[in-house]
Amino acid sequence: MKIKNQLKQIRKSYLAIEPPSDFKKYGWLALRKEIEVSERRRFTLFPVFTHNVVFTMIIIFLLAGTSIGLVKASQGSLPGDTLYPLKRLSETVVIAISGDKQVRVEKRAEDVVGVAEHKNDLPILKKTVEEYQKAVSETKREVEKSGKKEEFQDQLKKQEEKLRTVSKHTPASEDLLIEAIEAAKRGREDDVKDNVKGIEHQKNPSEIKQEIEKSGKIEEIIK
Amino acid sequence: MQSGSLKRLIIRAKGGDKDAFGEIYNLFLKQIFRYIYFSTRNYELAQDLTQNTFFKAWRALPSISVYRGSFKAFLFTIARNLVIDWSRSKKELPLETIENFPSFEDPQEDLIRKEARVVVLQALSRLEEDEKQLITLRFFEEFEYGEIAKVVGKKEGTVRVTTHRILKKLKNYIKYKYEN
Repeated sequence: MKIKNQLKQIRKSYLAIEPPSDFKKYGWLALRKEIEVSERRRFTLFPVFTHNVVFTMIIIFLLAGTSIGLVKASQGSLPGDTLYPLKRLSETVVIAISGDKQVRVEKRAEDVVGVAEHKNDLPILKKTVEEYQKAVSETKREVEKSGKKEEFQDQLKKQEEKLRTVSKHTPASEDLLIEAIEAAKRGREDDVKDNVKGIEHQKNPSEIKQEIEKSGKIEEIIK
Repeated sequence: MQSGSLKRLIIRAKGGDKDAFGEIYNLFLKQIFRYIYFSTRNYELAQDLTQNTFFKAWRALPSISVYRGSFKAFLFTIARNLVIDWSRSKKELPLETIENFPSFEDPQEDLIRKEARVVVLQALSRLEEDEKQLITLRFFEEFEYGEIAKVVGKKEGTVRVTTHRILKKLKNYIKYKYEN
């Protein structure tokens, strides 16, 4: 007889194998109890060690870890770098939370200095300077409303000094850095005009003298 | 592929419905039990390993896809692994355990056929556990080669070739037995 036919004969016996009747009757109930006990144990001892929760936690930790790591890494990036858009995004979040609009100008000034010092790329520097100019003019308007004008002017003054220092040892970037310096100056310019206006409105001593003489109260004042 | 009703039960069970899993359990209990019993020849052990198979299946449910693969192959994979683990620690089955199988008695079966059957059973018992599993799945459970490939984690072609090699091995053993 062929081996396959012999196996067919044995198959009849194989198919006749039945689980014991008690097992057929109570097998599932016993297993269900075992499943429930194991689930309770897992919830009681290690509440987080359940399939879905574990997966969710792992994913959250991985995402959070990766995001924090990336955001941290992006802080040192410069315009033109892969992580730079992330730096800008985190900056927007910081500004939205803190309400400190001057952060933007500070960061753009740092960008200009960073690109001029570490990147020999004039097109990127040009774009960065334009960003700085834009940030200065936008922040200036916002700062005037919030009454932090003086603080902003101090900030711009420091930036101007820093940009001037950098321009001295990066001759290739000098022209573009001068544009940035001009932007910082313009940011403080209104203030200068205001002062000039103030001076214009202040009367000089001869004018005061003439007014007093006109009023005829000179003798009263001398007395 | 599984039928629509089984698929629905699996989806429910995946969502934590124990009653649905109970229905799946009762659907496959006999098949899994006999598959394990054929290797262990021990009712108590076969019951334990069967329960363990379904327990592991329940735990693995969230990670299985209803739309890919077959649930039967998934269950048999667990059962096969448990039997192979057990076989690594077991001693060889005594000869009378092999000869006393099966429980099914055919009154028409003559003495020569009975003897031939015992020889084949002896030949099967001399196979490696994974070889025995392959023969059981193919000739007793009548799995397609593709299904067996999923259970044993090998390519279908490899399963075909291995099955033919095992059959040849069985033939050689039987031939040797009759000649001596």
